[in-house]
Amino acid sequence: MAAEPKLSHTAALILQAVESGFIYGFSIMEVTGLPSGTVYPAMRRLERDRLIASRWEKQSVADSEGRPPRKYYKVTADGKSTLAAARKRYPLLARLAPTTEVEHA
Amino acid sequence: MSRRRSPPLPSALRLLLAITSLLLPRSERSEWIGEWRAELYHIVGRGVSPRVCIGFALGAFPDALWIRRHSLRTGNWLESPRRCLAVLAVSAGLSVTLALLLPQIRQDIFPRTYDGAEDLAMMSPTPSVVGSEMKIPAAQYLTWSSHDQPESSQTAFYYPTTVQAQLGAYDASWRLGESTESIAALLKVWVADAVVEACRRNGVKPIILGRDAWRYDFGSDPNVVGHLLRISGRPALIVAVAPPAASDLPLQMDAWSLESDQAIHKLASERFAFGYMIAQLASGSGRGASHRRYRIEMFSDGGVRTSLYVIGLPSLAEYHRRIPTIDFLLSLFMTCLMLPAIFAVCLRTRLRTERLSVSMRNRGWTFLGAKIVLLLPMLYCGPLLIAHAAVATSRDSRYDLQTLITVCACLLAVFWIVDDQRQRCPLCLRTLTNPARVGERSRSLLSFSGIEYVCSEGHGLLHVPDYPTSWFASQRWLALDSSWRILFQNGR
Repeated sequence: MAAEPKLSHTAALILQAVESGFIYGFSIMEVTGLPSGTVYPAMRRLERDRLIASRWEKQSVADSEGRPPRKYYKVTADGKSTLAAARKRYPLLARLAPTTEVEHA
Repeated sequence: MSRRRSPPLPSALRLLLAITSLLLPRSERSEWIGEWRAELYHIVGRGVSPRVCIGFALGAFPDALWIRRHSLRTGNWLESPRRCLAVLAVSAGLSVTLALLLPQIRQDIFPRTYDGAEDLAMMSPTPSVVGSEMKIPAAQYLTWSSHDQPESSQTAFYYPTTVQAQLGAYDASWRLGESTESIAALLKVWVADAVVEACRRNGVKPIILGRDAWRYDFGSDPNVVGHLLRISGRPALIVAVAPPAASDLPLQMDAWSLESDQAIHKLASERFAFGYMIAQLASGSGRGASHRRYRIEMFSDGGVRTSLYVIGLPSLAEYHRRIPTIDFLLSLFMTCLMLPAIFAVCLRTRLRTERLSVSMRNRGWTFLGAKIVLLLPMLYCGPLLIAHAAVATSRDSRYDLQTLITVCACLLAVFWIVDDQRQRCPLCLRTLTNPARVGERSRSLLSFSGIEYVCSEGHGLLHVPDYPTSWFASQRWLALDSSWRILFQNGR
């Protein structure tokens, strides 16, 4: 079995935020307090490592609300196990509160 | 329903995102910009402060850079041969345009003589064009000018000295030519006799300022005529500025002082007062500017025959003028001499020796030639621009610096051209990507140890040994057939 990737605190924080339901880039920025220049490259890295996956919101949903479709992220199975390991390493991660943000799938 | 204009800030930020997206590979651009614009839309819709919006949009830049760095398709921003040539062409065009727009550099590249300079000549006791060997005694000049000479219609003499010019804020060491008044006419500048007379009455030395001194010591001030300064403690008045081609005269004087006849006669009485004699060749002499150097005979009062050589000013200028083009060609020549050393020391391994088809070879050579051709204007104009920006006081120092920079730039350019060419796929000429270390240096006797590059189009692999061995001395290209391409399609 391949060793689980060790996450930096920032990456773990972002992964925890996505797991907590902050599924859009800006909401992750808001909850973590990190700037966009940190959050987005970190999410690219997480996606490349298959710890999170992205999907585009349905165009019909966005059209009905008169706005552009957003890209949202969710944690993969690998991401969940990596996050569990990261929580042991960074216990304060669990304090990140879940949200009521709803994905328009 | 009326159409509302979008507010300026979101429009500007959308434009910023569009520009930033150019950093990304084309295949990933639309998705990336779609995500950023959608997020920006929601941020603006929530009514956050402009500062937050701007901060958010600026974050797009590191994100784009990250994607660019980690994309299979953008290992190198000059990866594509077309983009490489386009970047070189734009850079070459910019450097040439900038160089030609600056008048000082334009004058250096295309030196021009002033009107009538073709009729001017130096009178020298020897056929040599070396400045110190062209001097004649002041007494000989007086003898020449006191007799009717069929060769010349007008002559002038100047005696070079070194003086301290007090220019207000600082002192400068100038080469001053103590000249006869006739030098003004020969330099094609007009100086009113009344001005010269007034200067003499008031004990002020009238001077004609050389072009370089005017440019560098007076900042090309158009109102410099009438400026009063002190030369070796004596007051001097600038009565004219010499034309550019006056710097072709021997020793490149910073200024010429217009001396009285008495002063010249006093000089002639000194045994070692050697100076330069300029003559305007008579139109009826039958000898034009095409005659570069020829000998004439003159007789002094005592009937002594003396030979003088007439050296046309244009031909003299050809010997003395440092033309950047010549320096550049010399730098190129010096670089060519150093090429074996560059290949031996910098490139470590021998050039690739794989057998390629004629069309592939031609393509590679054409690309190599195009790179060289496009780099030449940059190598010529770039050092000129740098030297002009760095050295503003001395033309010779500027040329020396330009030569030094040119040699260094040529060496770097040669290294880059060869190294870039070696790391390109011979089929598509794209830069090879994804370097991977293979083997161990300690086992190079038994197996390959070096770096393996791959063509992102799937054309093949390049193996570069860490150091040449008897069985793996040069880089080797391993061509992959079309069945491998499927592995590389994701990268497109």
